[in-house]
This record gives sequence, structure tokens and C-alpha cells, in this order.
Amino acid sequence: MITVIVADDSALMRRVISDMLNSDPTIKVIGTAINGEDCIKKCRELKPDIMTLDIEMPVLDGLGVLKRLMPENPIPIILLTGTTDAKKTFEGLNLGAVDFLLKPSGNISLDMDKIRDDLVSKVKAAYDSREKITDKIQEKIRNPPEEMTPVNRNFYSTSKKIIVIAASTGGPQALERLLVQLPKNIPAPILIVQHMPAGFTKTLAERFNNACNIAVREAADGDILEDGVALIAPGGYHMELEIQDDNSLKIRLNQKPTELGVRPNANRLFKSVADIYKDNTIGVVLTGMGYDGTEGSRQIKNYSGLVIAESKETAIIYGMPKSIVDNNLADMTLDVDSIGAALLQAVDV
Amino acid sequence: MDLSKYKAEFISEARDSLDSLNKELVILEKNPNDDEVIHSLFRSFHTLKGNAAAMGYTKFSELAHSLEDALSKIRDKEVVMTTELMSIILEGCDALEEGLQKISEDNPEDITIAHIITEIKDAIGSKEQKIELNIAQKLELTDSDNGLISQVAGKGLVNAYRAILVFESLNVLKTAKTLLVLKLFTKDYSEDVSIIKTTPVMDDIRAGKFGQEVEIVLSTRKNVEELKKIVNTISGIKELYILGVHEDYIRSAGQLHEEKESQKQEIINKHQEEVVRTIQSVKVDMDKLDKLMNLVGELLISNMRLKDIEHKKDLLMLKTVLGEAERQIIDLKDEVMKIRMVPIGNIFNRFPRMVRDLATKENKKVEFIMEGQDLEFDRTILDQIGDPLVHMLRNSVDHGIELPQDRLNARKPEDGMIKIKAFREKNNAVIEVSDDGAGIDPEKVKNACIKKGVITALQAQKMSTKELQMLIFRAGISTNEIITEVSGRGVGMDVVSTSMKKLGGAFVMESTVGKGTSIRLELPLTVAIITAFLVRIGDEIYAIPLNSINETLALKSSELKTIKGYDVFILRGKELPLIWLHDIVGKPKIPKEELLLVIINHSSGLIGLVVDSIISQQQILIKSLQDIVKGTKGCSGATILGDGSIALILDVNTLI
Repeated sequence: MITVIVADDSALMRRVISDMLNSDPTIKVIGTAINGEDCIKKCRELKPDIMTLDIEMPVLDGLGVLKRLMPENPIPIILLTGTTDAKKTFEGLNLGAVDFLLKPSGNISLDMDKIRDDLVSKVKAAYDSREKITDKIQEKIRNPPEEMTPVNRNFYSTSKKIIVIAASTGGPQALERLLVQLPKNIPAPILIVQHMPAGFTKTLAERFNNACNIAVREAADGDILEDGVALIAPGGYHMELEIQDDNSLKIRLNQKPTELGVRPNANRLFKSVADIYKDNTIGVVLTGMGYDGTEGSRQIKNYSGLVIAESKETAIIYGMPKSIVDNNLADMTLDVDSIGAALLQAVDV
Repeated sequence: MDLSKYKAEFISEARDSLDSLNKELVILEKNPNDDEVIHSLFRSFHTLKGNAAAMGYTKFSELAHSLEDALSKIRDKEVVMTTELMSIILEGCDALEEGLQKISEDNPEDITIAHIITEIKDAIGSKEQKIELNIAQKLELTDSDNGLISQVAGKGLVNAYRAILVFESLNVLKTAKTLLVLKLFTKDYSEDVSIIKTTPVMDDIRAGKFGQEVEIVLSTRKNVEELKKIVNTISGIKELYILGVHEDYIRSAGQLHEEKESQKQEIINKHQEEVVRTIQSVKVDMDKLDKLMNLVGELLISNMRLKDIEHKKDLLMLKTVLGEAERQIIDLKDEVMKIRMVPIGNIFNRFPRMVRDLATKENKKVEFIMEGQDLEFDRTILDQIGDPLVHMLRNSVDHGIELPQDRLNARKPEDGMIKIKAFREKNNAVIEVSDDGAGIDPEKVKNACIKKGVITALQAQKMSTKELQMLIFRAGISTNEIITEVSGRGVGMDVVSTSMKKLGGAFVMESTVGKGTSIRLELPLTVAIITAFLVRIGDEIYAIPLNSINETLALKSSELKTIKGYDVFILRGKELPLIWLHDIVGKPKIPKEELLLVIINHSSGLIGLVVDSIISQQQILIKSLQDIVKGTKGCSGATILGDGSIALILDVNTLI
């Protein structure tokens, strides 16, 4: 039985979220907390497996809880945030939270069912990977990541490569570790699909932009490709590459239906890029639940491109990368800290 | 997912949020830089937005969202709090109230929020704040204006007028109506009417940048009557003034007063309804529930033990276990009673906003202080107490606190002070409403009451100042009538008197003309069950509430002294007057060597009551006396004893 504590300052929310979680026979809500202080107390007393944490709470907010709790009792925490909280959400992820979920904001009751399904699957995934998550958090606290300064190299290859990356739960953390390894003069454009709601991808891109040497932006319809620039698909849009009439390449965004329940869908990106760049496509599949990226990687392999899967050791949720490996599509499986070096080699060939 | 089962919870939580919101907004108005309040307000709107969205109440959520945005900008110091912005936010909160009402009626989308959202967006979008326009008393004409007037006079449009249109304050159609009037003049009557100028200018009129008043200066060959007829073809204009260009524009006092009164009444009604709504559910501390669980557990064990005793027929153990069980049941009852207790702050929360709105409408400055919000009352009491408190506060603002200039003239601080305080005192809970205003003028009260036939002139002559002042609590007269000597309107303070009787409480008023007024409501803390001493007097049993009892004492009759014919005992150096309850209840006094005293707290001090014996101290259920025996002095009710007999409960304050 997966035991959960629900922390939120709204009584209604506590009830709704508890009901959602309890609707799954393998999950049991063993307690609730009304503010940050109460949250820490309950965690100590009841020792849950997982915790859902509201960010905006009185007395001590979600971020405050993470700061206090992660050093002493690193359990997997899923943040529940409102649409306005993007910056704080990422700070929370940085402080050790595993994943986040958007609180209901729509007006369709479908929303609630989807949220319940998302919530339940995120909790389960976090539970399955709990030891790894705990270890990671403790490691991070013991050894804060050193400043990674990429080695400056001169690149000699003339064939134009492109890097496409797929990431889901645990993506923001993994992407940050990966992207900081890349030097400013990397001779390839980078396109990224991170499963995330609209509004958050922009803030995510800003964060990365500040932290990395390469430039990182949220993609816009009509964008052109640039070396050393990473474009992140905006939440809620599919991102694809398209040849224009004048043979130039442009980014196209669309809102066609979700695929595999997600939009942006990485398969769509990977396939559209592979069709154009063929064996010059380098695909990377990072941590995440589900199978997105597998069909796209298959297409890349059809063109003899390169596919890298994140290793089981570093992937917070070893779902998407596992699917790549299980389908024999991975050219290599690497710890996230080694993927940077691998990419640099790959673009120089 | 079926969300309808969460509706009650949503409404309950939203109500609480709105109550705190109103209170905090008033605080913020006085201290615009209080970060803690700003954060708390932000969180409240944030939660309201999220919860409403989850429940599918789109409009409510949108409105809450725009308010959240406003607070977020204030918090991030991107926008400065102004009176304008505060009013808009308060308006938004009122709309949320309405929205919540509609939600509870299952009609969640039946609210108009578009205009408020636009107002909020405008207010936080640009640093320029809107200017509320009021038409000036005197019309100012420039040279070119005068030139134009002369010019059209030459064509026969010899009469120059100021046409001032007045709209209802929140009339969203005022722009449209004004433009219609202008169109009338310039199209249909273009031969007869020429517009000289407008206030505000045409662009601002089109943008709705005016308050309730708009002025059109025009030249015409028509006269005032004809002009009025033309304008009156358009509905929805509240007032129309057609003045000569040199006439002063003075809003009629009657109109002003009418406006004020109806606005006041609206506010009162709204807030009164909210205040007076009965408490259907209570929030309970987890600790209290845990205690309950423990007690129930202990009772279960006692029950098991009793069963065991029945089996073994062990009478000795029986006594012990029964005693334990009784203790547990009493504790359980106590804990449940505590759960019925609700902090009076729940009711108080609505007051700051109400007082602020009233004071603003009356152009008075009021500092409103609340104390003792944590004091808990049984919820049945709280249900009843809202009404009288609202009336008392209203009176303080309306008739108590003077206008700022008057206060300064009287060497008082410009800000009037109104204070509401809840506290425990001896046997009671007290709620005191006090102000430093004008006080209650006994002369005015006397005159108004005589006029209304509440008392005769002869009776009035015999009354003291205090008694005259207390007349405001009589039925048939309202404070408004007393002050304005205009009869008809207003509900009287007799609601205070009635409510107190219902609750078995009392009230006391102190008022000094020129200094201020203070009214104390004294209430029992709980309604139904009390602890009391059962005492025997002759062959009858009476109950004296433990609350009233200071101590008990046994003394020898030889220790008694007599002062001025009364029995007295010297207790710790002080004279303790003695009263034989036998005298009061009509039982024979049997002279004894040893006397038993129950020393009670009377309003005039300690008094020793002589009884025959003290039977026990126990919990009793108060049953109120009905009909003809109800008003019996000295009795606050009766209780049924274990053996089925009845004991009267003595009310020490009215007994003696």
C-alpha cells in the first residue's frame, strides 16, 4: 500500500485530492496537513511514502517545507501548483521535489478525471522509484553539483547534425544537468520536448538560459534553427520541423490532438526531424513515464541516426528510456552526466 | 468525476475566506504596506480561484483570478495601493459574495463580472488612475465658449443652459445613455439645439471616464420645460437638472440624504444577512476530536467492566466502576459541548468592513477596534447575537460618532473610536460596544418618546437621566427618529432588549452627552447545562448555579452580628450580609446552632445565603419556565432531578 500525506491549506482541496488518491486501491492517504509546519510535523510522525505538497501555504510555504524536510527526510514529493507558480515550481524541483502537477484550472469536468489519472500515475511512478529518488536527493545535498564548465573545443565536422531530446517526469532536473555540459559553440541546433503544461515551458527555458552556456528559448512558430540554441516546445503544442517552399527549415507549432496523452509529443518531433536530417539526427531519450520517444527513435534508427537513452541509474523514472532499450533502439545507455560528452563527440563526426 | 458532493464544503470554505478577506482588506487600507496581510490576501484569492476552477464555477474563478493578479502585483510592488484600487477590489469581493450566493442556488454563472475585471485590469495595468468626476458648482466658460454662445444666439438659439445628467452609481449604461442624449440634441434637434461644450470632454464620455454626473452646456431656442421633455424620452437617467449657465449646481439635500439612506440600508441589509446567517457547521480542532475518541474508548472499557460485574455480581466493584463511568460521561459531555463552542471572531469578522463602508458613506472617520475574538460561545448564542450587535454598531456610526469637523470643534481627535470587546467577567461572557461619540441626549429621547406616545410627559418628569436614556431600548421608537425627529424609518434598539431576554442575558448602558456611549451585553456562556449546588431549604430543593457561588461556609449562630437590623457575618475582615433563603421562598426558619452559608457573587457584592443543607454539586439541565411563571423574580429556570422531582434554579441577581 502506498501511503501518502496531502498538504494543502484549502480544506476542499485536501478532500478532493485525498478522494482522488484513495480511489486507487493501492494508494492510501494516511494524513493531511494544513500548512508547512503541520506538514513537517505530520511527516515526522506518520512517515509516509509520498507527499503531495501545495506551494502556497501560510506559516511555511511549500518551498520552505522542501528546504527543511529534504535534508532530514528525503521522500518523493509531488508539488501541486497553480498556473501562476512557474518560477516557484522550478525552484521546488531544484530543492528536491520529484514532479509537479497543475491544480485544476479549466472549466471542463474532463479536467478533473485527467488530473486524477495523472496524479495517481505520478504517485505510483514516484513510489516505484522511491529509493533512487531518495538517494539522489541525499546525494545532491551531500554533494551539491559542481560548476560544470564545458571544455571549449574546435569542431571540424562539416555535416550538419541536429540533436533532439525527449523528457518527461524528472526532465527539468535531467535537462539542466545535461544542457550545462554543452559549450556555447556546439555546432548543432537542439530541439527539446519536455512534457509540461502551457506557461511552464517558458519559465523553464528562461531558467536554463540563465544557467547554461548555450541559449535556451521557448520555441515559436516560424523559428529557424541556430547552432548553439536549444528550443523547447511550448506546453500544449506539438513541435515539428518543416521544409518551406524556398527550402529553408522552420519550426512549426500546432495543436493537433494529443498523442499518447501528451502534447507536445516527442515522437512527432523526432519523426519530422529524422525525415529531414536522416542519419544526421541524434536523439536523446531522458527520464519519464510512458513510451513517448520510442516510435520517434525507431524512425531515427531507420535512417541510421544515433539514439541515446538515459541510464537506469540516473533516470528518476526509468520508463521512456527503458522502452528504448527494450525495443533495441538504443545505441548507448548513459548516465545523464556523461550524455554531454557523448553528444559533443557525436556532432563532431 | 462527480463534484457536486463537494459543493457544501466549497461554499463553507469560501464563506470563511470571504469573511477574512473583508477584514484584512480594511486593515490593508489603513496600512498599505503590511506585507503579511498582502500575502494572506493573495493566498485567499489564489485558493478561491483554484477551488472554484476545480468545481467548474468558471466566472467565479475568473473573478478571483483577476483579484489574485491585482494582489500579486501589489505584493511584487509593481502597483501601488490607492483608494481607487481598494474600492475596486472591495467591489470585486462584493461580486464574489454575490457569486457565492448564486453558487449555493445552483446558478453559478448568473453573475456579471466583465466590468469589474476590466476595471481591475485598468487599475493595475497603468499607473494612471481614473479620476472620478464631479460636476463643479459653478460653470466656467472660456472666451471661445462665450464666443460660440453669442454666435448661435445670433441664429435664434438664445437660451444657454447647463444640462446635468445624474446616474445611479454602478449604472453600466451611463455612457450609452449620455451618448443617446447627445445624439438627440445634435441630430433630431440640430436646428434647435447647439452643444457648446461637455464635461468631461467627448472622448472621455465615450470611454466612460466619469462618475455619476455628466454636464452638457448647450444653447437652444427651447425653454427649460421643453428641454426636460426631450431628455426624459430616454429612460434610465436618475436625475436631470437644467440650470442657467450662471446658476450654481447644488445637489439637493433631499436627494443626497435619500441616496445615503438607501445606500446605507443596502450595506446594512447585505452585511446583516451575512452576519445573522445561522451557523450550520462548525470547524473542529483535531485535538478535540481526539479527546472525544479517547473518552469514548474509556467508556467502552467501563461498559465491558460493568458487564463483567453483572456476571460476577461483585457489588463493591460496581460502585467503583459506576463512578468511573459517570466521570467519563461527564467529560464526554463537556467535550461535546466544547465542540459547539465557536469563537465570536466568526461573527466579528464582518464588522470592520461594515463599519468602514458606513463611515465612508457618512463622511466620518472611524477607528474600529475589536478585542476578544477568541472567546468562544455556544453556537445558539452566536446565532442570536449578530442582529443586536449590528444595530449597536450602526447606531454608533450613525448617531454616535460626529462628523470630523464637529469632533475637532469639540476638541476630540478627528477619528472617532468604536470598540467592540468580548471578555469573560465573573459569571458571564460580556460583549461591550463603546464609542467616544456624542452620547445619548436624554432630552432628545424624552421629546421623541413623548411625541410618539411611548411615555407620557408626566412619567418623563419622574425619570432619571439614565432611565431616559434607556428608553431607546423600548419598542416603538428608533434612534433615527430620536435624532432626526423624522418618524417612520428605522428599526429600534429594542431588538437588543428582545435578544437578550431570549438568551437569558442582560444589558447595561452608560452614556454621557458629548463623551460617548457604551453598551454591555451580558450573556451566559452556554445555554443548556450548568453545574450547580443543590441545596435544601425546608422540604424543598433549590439549585444555585456554581458560576454564582464564591464559597461555602459553616458557622455558629453565635458568630452572627446584627447591623441595622440585618444579620451580618464578619468574613475575613469584611461585612458579609446574610439572607435567609427561607424568607424568600417562604419556608419556616428553624433556629440552629450551626448555620450553613452559600456565599454568592451578587452585583452589589458578596452575600451569604443561609440554607439548611447542601445536598450535592452536580450537572443540571436547565429547563426554562413558561408562561405566567416565566417572569418570576429570582428564578432563571428549573431542573428535573434524578428522582423526577423539580428544583427551581435561583438567579442570584434578581433574587435579592
